[in-house]
Formats: sequence, structure tokens, C-alpha cells
Amino acid sequence: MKKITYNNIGIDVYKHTCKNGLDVYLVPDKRVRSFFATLNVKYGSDILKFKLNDKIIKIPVGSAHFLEHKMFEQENGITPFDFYSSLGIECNASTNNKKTDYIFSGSSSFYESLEYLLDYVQAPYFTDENVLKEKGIIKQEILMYEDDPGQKLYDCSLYNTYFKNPVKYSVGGKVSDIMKITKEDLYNIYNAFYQPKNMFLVVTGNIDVKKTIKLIEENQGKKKFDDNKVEIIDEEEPIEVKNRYEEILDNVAISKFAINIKIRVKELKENVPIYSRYLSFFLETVLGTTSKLKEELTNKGLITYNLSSEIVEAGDYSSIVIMGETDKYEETIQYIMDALKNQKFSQKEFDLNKKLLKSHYVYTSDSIYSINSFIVGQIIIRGKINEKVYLDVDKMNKVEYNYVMSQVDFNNYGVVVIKPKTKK
Amino acid sequence: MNKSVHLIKDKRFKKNIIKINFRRETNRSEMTKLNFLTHLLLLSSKKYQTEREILYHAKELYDISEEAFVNIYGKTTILSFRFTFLQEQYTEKGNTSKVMDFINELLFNPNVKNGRFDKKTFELAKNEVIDEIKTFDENKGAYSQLKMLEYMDPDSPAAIKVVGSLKEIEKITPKNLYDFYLEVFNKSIIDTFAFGDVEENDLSFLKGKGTKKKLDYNYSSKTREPKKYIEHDSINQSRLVIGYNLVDLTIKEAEYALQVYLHILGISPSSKLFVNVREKESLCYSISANARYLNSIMTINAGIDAINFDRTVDLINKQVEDMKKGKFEIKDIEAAKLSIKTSYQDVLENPYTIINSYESTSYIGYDSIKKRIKEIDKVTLEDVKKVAGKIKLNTIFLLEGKKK
Repeated sequence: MKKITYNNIGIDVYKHTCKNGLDVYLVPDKRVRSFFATLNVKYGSDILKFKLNDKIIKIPVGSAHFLEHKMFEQENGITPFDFYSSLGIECNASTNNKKTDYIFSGSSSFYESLEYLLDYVQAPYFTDENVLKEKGIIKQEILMYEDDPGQKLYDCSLYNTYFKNPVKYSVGGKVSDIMKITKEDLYNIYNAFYQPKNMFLVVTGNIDVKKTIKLIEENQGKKKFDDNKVEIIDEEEPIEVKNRYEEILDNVAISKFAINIKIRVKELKENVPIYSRYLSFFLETVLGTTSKLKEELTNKGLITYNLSSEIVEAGDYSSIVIMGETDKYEETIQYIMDALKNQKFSQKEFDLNKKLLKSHYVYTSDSIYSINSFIVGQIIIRGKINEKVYLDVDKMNKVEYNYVMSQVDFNNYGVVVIKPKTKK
Repeated sequence: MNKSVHLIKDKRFKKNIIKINFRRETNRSEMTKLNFLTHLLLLSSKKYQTEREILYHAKELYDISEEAFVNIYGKTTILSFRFTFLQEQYTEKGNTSKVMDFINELLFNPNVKNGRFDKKTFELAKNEVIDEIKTFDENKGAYSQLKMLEYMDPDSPAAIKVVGSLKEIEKITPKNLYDFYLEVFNKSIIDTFAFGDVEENDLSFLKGKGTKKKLDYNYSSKTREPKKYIEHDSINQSRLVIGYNLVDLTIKEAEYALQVYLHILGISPSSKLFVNVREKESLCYSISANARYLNSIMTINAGIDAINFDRTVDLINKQVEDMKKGKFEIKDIEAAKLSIKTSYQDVLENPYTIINSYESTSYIGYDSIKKRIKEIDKVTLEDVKKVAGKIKLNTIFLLEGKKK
């Protein structure tokens, strides 16, 4: 067991690797009585093709999320919902494009809850009947998201940007995708990715480190896992944007647009692992709340308060996705693209961004929930935790920034617009 | 000593929160103006003439966040401003005092000339409010919920659209809005909740502001024979919302037995609604029951396929009837109590919910969370059955989408 201290933000992490390869990160926090545990699988909707013991497996879109639902099925008929409810513990699970997590939180019965978490996620029980039953439920979940214009815009923007990278598909898939999923698909995924060495556990809150590690080791020691050979198959993604423009008519009152700038980051990632932090600086300064651009757009009556941006990481590529709401979208998009290309960044603004990032880390360290997801995020995105994040901010500089920005081609973008059905 | 300042000293966390509430009687015709103020006051002040200047300064104060919102609690409406910022030890000496100046500036030194709000700020805020009102209906869940409440009782405070209306906005001018601001800032009950490491002196700028009067909260709608309403929309998923009256429920019942009732019926994933409508019949993904005691209303919401409307309603009715008949066990009650205690413990460990609990104790007279954790254990099966008997079906509403 190793103790790792995050500089300046007062987080102590105890890291332990079990004999079977399961990594455990414990962050005791005696300020509170509660605890929060997440069992994370390094598998999300971004993997659709892989080799399992030399056999090539292709699975339908939406399978990762479907499997997450089905982990709640247990052979003895008692579901995790039943078990945790009887203890007054909250439990849940979620899937995104990079990981799947199974979580619980509460303030009593910690050891029982933890043991059960490890047991149910490591005991799949998929049958034709229970897979069929879930299709009705997940169908309603998908339809709910399809009625959300913001979600639809975002999904469509990624779909239009990429040719082959699975990030183009929404995490849950479409209703027609999930209808194809079988229990064999789920077992293939499970056998390939739900292995201890491809998973990690993060627990934050009021816990005892030694007792917790002991419980986990004993629990894992009792179980046997197959040593499957797994290889993820990526398909080569072209640099171009697949579909540069699309207009969709929908139930909206005001038009909405998404700009998706596609960036090849394969080499950039190796040279500047924290490149996305520089991209965030750029976005915050050029079109964030205190940008000149935001002020001009509002003064001209082009947008009001709904202008947002985010970075989506997708293997060898990343996307900058900018979304906004306005009926004058053509003029607005032109304005934004011109500003992005002609960005100027003063040292003062650069330093303000650093100050903000440090404040952000302090806020993050203030709750057992945000600490947990912060650690999970580091492991999923960068492969390991980095206790020097706060100090690393001081090392950020304009030279690296300029290099990162030189790798962005502001002409390589696509646009999606959702327009009201009733208006012209 | 200013009695309207509630200091919540708590050094477990790294942040401070200051929430300033302006409480007044709920009045439908004021909602648009109140919402307007939540936008306008954060867009400029005498010292910071533009939103960009305000937000730039907020960043310099180690990313203080400022929020403004309006909430209706039955017959009382609260306009709130909430500021979250890091404790001084995580910033620099003098930061807290600068934060207080900033809050004072935004709220009490607005950009006003000749008795009216600055024209440019006014127009920017107006555009924001118009967009907010126009896009409100894009959220089909919120739209359906409000529609059901309107059908149930159009006079209920619960049926008021908090964002306001386009008709009202055209009547608002920089002059009459400023007059309204003066009215709200002088004639409301003003109180402040300060959480974290904040001293009474820090808040001296709030001294002597506001007025004192008594406010009521509880509103009850009349019961009636249940009615069904269906509206059509070209959405993919149909939204079902069912409204019930809570008849003569006491505050103690609302705090205790009703909470247990809701857990068993439709809050937890082992609830009757979740198990019988979702897990056994695959009719929906989301389904839940909620209550608003101050409006004497319970609602059940579900997203379904239109073709399953009748079947879903029958199943939901059966669950509510089973609750009345007492078809649940002691173990369900015990599990519900444990869940409720867990969620209360969570409330005690989150600065925002700690403030909310102080508000509901001081405004409505609810027991403190610590007391509730103890008292919830006293709820019996008979108590829950009695509450179940006070819940009467009023309205079934379906926003019917495509049949799939």
C-alpha cells in the first residue's frame, strides 16, 4: 500500500493493488460520516470491436450501457436495488463512452455494502428472458433523451463529425440498435473487460483504510477469474469531418447550433499530455463568460446566455464542441469562427486562467463525491492519478500553449442546426 | 445585532456560502418582474457596468459564483441570491472583505440613472428572459408537470410558471422595473444565511434592510371527481403526470409518515411503482412519486409509450390503492426509514442542503434534520396507512407523443 498526497489541496490517497490486479484507491475523509464507493470498469461505449482469445467480436451499439443495466440481475432473484434498499444505502450505475461505474453511498453498513458491490459486479447472470425484458425499459430511456433538443444536437454533432470512431454513436444507442443485443454479446463483453485488472475501485469518505483493504483482498482471494487475452480493434479514422452541415427540423422554440472542430491529437497527446487543459484555457478566454466575443454577440442581440463549449476526447482525435441558441445562427457561427481564428491571449488572461484552475481544484477537494470522480477521471483519461496537478498549473506556459493551438485546424469543422418546425 | 442574519459556523468545508432571501406573498402578476431581476442584477452595477466586468472581477475573487433564482413555496415566493466562494485561507488575505463589497455592489448598487435601470442592461436582460420563457416548453417533463397542475387547479401557486410570461414582459419598462426593485428590496422580508467561516461583522452591509411581517405558506386545492386530460405533441415519448390532493395532512404527517409513504410507493428503486411498473412490466424507464406539502399536492410522473397509457394508469392506481389498504410490510417501513436517514445524513454534509434545512426550519417550522433523524423511527404502519387514506386522485394528464 502506498500513500500519495495531492499537493496543496489536502487529499491523501492510499493505493493498493490486489493480487488479481484490481487497483484500489482509498481516500479517508473524517470530516463527514458518509462514504462513496465507485467500482469502475475501463470499458465504455467507445469499444465496439475487439479480439477475445483471438476471436474477433463485434457488438451492437449501446451494448456497454445495456450490460450496465443487466448487472442488476442476480441469479437468486434478489437485485442490488433490493439488497441496498434494505440497508438504506443508495446505489446506482452509469455508462459513458470511456467507462462504466457501479456505485453506492451511505453512512452505515459500509463493509456489507462494499462486499456486495464486489460480489454482484463479479457475478453476471444474463438470460434470454431478462435481456428481452430490459429492452422495453431502455427503449423508454433512449426516447426520453431523443426528446431533449440539447442532447439531440450534441449527439448529432458527434455523429456527423466522425466516420468510424464509435464516439459518433450516443452511449445508449438507438432503439433499433438495442433490439439486436443478445445475452451472448453481453457475456463476450463481460469476459473481455470485466476482469479485475481492467477495473479499479475508488472509495472516499469516512472509512478505515486497513480494514477496507483487508476485506477487499479476502473477497478477491476467494474468486477465480479467467485469464482472457483481449485486444481492442480500432479502425483508422480519417482526419476530415464526415458531414460538414446538417439542418434538422424539431420541436424547438429557438434554433440551436453546434460547431464541432475536429483535431488530430495522436502526436499532440504524446508531446503535451495536458493539451486539453490548454484547450480549455483557450475556450474560456475566447468564448467564455468574460470573453470579448461573448460580449459582442450579446450586444448585437445574436445570443443571450446560452453559449457553451466542451472538449470531447476520442482516441487519436479530440473535438471542440461549441453550442448556442439563436435564430440568427448563420451570422453567429461566422462571428464565432472568425474570433476563434484570430484569437489573442494576453499574459494577464493566461494567469487568470491559472488562478481559476487552482481554485477549481480546491473546490473539487471539498466533497467526497467530487474527489471520487476527480480520481476516476484522471485514471480513465490519463491512465493514472497525478498528485501534482495543482503544482503543474504553475508550469503551464505560453510556449506550450502556442504549440497546442498550432495543432488545431480551425477550418476542419462541421455544423449542425436544429430549427423550429413551424418557422421558416 | 441583526436578527435576520443566520450564521451557520462550519469549518469542515473549504467554501463559504451567502444566501440572501427576499420573501413576499406569492403574486402571479409579479413573476415576470421577479425573474427579470434575477437576470438584470447580475448583468451590471454602478461600479461594474457590464456583465463582462462583473464576471472578470468574480474570477479575480478566486472564482466566486453568483446565482439568482425565484422559488414559490405555496403562498410565499422567495427571490434568492446565492454566492459561493473559497474561505480566506485558500485565497489571500482580505479576499472575504472584497467578496462582501462585491455582493453589496451587485445587489444594492444597481446601474440606475434618473430613477430607471440602465437602458442597455435592461434590453440585455429582457432578451435573456424572453429566451428563457420561449424555451421553457422545450423541456417536456417540466411542461407536462405544469400542465397537469394547471388542469388540477389553475389558481394554485404550484401552477404558476416561475419564468413569467411573454405578455407580461411587454409591460415592463426600465422605470417600472426599478420601482419594483425598490419595492422588493425595501418591503420584502430580507434574511441571510451565511455558511462556513463568515463573521457577523462581514455582513454589516445588510443591517437594517427589509421589513417584518408574517407570511403564510400553505395552500390547498379543492378535491373533486378525478378528471382525465390528453394533449398531443410530436414527441417520441409520452409523458404521464398524475396529480393527487393531500387532504388535511398535518405538518408532522408531512415530515414523517408521508416521507415513509413516498419511499414505499415511489422514490426508491425497490418502491412499488419502480418494481411493478418498470421492472416487472417494462413500461417505463423513469417513474417516481413526489409531494409538495405546502401546496397539498402529490404527483406521480412517468415516461411511457402512448399505447400503454391505460395499462400504466391502471397499474399506478393499483399501487396507490394497495398503499391505502395497507398492503406493505414492517420491513418496507424499516427500509424506508433507513433510506430517509441516509439521505438526511447526506443533507448534513452538503453546505447547500444544510442551508436549505435551516430555511425550512425557520420559515415553515419543520424539525431540524438532526431531530428528524431521531423522530422518523417512531413512524408506524398505522401512521403510513392513515396518510395513504388522505391522498385523493384529482387529475390524470397525458402529453401524448408518437405511438411506437
